[in-house]
Amino acid sequence: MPGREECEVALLTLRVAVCAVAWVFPLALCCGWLLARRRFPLRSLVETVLLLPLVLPPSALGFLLLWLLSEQSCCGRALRACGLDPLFTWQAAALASGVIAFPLMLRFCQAGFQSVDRRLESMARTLGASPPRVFVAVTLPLARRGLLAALVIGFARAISEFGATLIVAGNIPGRTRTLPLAIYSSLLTGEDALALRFAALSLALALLALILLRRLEPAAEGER
Amino acid sequence: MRRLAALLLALVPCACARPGGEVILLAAASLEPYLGPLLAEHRGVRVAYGASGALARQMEQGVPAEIVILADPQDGERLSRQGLLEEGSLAPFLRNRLVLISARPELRERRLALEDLPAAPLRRIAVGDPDLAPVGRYAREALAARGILEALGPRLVPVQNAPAVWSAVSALACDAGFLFPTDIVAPERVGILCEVDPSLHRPIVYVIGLRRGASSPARALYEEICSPAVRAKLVAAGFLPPGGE
Repeated sequence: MPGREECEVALLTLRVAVCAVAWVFPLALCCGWLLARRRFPLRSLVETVLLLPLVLPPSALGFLLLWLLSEQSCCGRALRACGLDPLFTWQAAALASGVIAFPLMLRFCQAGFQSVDRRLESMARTLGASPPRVFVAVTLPLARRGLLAALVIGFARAISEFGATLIVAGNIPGRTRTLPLAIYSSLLTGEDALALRFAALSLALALLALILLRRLEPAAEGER
Repeated sequence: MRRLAALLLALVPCACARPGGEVILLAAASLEPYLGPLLAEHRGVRVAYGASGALARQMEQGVPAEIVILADPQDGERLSRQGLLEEGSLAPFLRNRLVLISARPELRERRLALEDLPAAPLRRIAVGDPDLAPVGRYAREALAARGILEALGPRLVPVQNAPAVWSAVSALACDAGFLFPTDIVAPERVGILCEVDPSLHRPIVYVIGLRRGASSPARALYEEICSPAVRAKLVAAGFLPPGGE
């Protein structure tokens, strides 16, 4: 049975991952829709830049975020002036995990929107539905499989985030030590059994996410 | 495509090759900027740097290191007790001091006494992770001796090792940090707020040890690192000699 420490770490990991997905999903949704539906200048450049976190080493991204959030940059100074100081907090971990998960979520959202039959949308339009209503009543439900996949994949990526999180949020027991960091720390201190328990917890969380995806999408098998 | 595959296949032996007779040396991370250049011309030596607590753990778990240099005698003694080190090979190598530094422009010129820390405008103070990094153990001992460890509580940010304290402070991610003066690789970027009174913590002693049954190249390297010439270079770089004040 997981002890108190393991439960705390798992709960913190969950909180970080849920917040990461929550702040990144709307962005991924908007960007995915734009990339799937709109032609605009420098589109491929924008797409490349948005996908960068997928190919950059997480530590490089962490370094960039650290610079942005610390007082070395005007962004960090502005945050400080507003009384915000997210470095070495779980919020910073959620920010870092969100940035890392963003390209994957974007890809799945984009694919979801691309899978929607445009004719159904124009039909709704000719029947008098306003563009926002078409989006909510036709596009979103038809793209739901891609969007749900984006949520689950983003969540799975966020609970396994290590490199960028270590740099901007540190590895503070009880405050920013998420499951991947706890595995790392317990290996370094030679507590292999504890590392194994943390690894098992990570597995359980990932499996839970995948099972949830299947429960949310019971028709997926039948439609194929 | 085929050429690419051939190239990749050709690289496989390079990646797998591990020349026999290579001496593996584990050394405290705070020695890297100084020991690295001294060992650069040595062929057949592989050095891994890290937090001393983590290095000792790695050796216990079977890393075939033949020489260890650790920043805390406790880690060395643990290895010795387990019979991993050659009888009598564990010896004091160097000593060091502990300072509190800051890279914040408004703090750089200030001097603080340790007991003023709780009231000082420092939101985050980087200290080594006491489980792994001696630099953090010494800092916590000093803070506990002054009775302010509890008061600082959540403002202490544990980081992996001494160089990590430097990067946290110099990147302004932390307002201040406890480290060894030899970790200050760019003195113009920081100010020393406080030189910690050495009587507040255990003496900061680096110890060197040789694995039981080490190879002859490892023995030669151990002798060389312990030689007065090498030590003189390290002392010139800011470390203190092992004996006496």
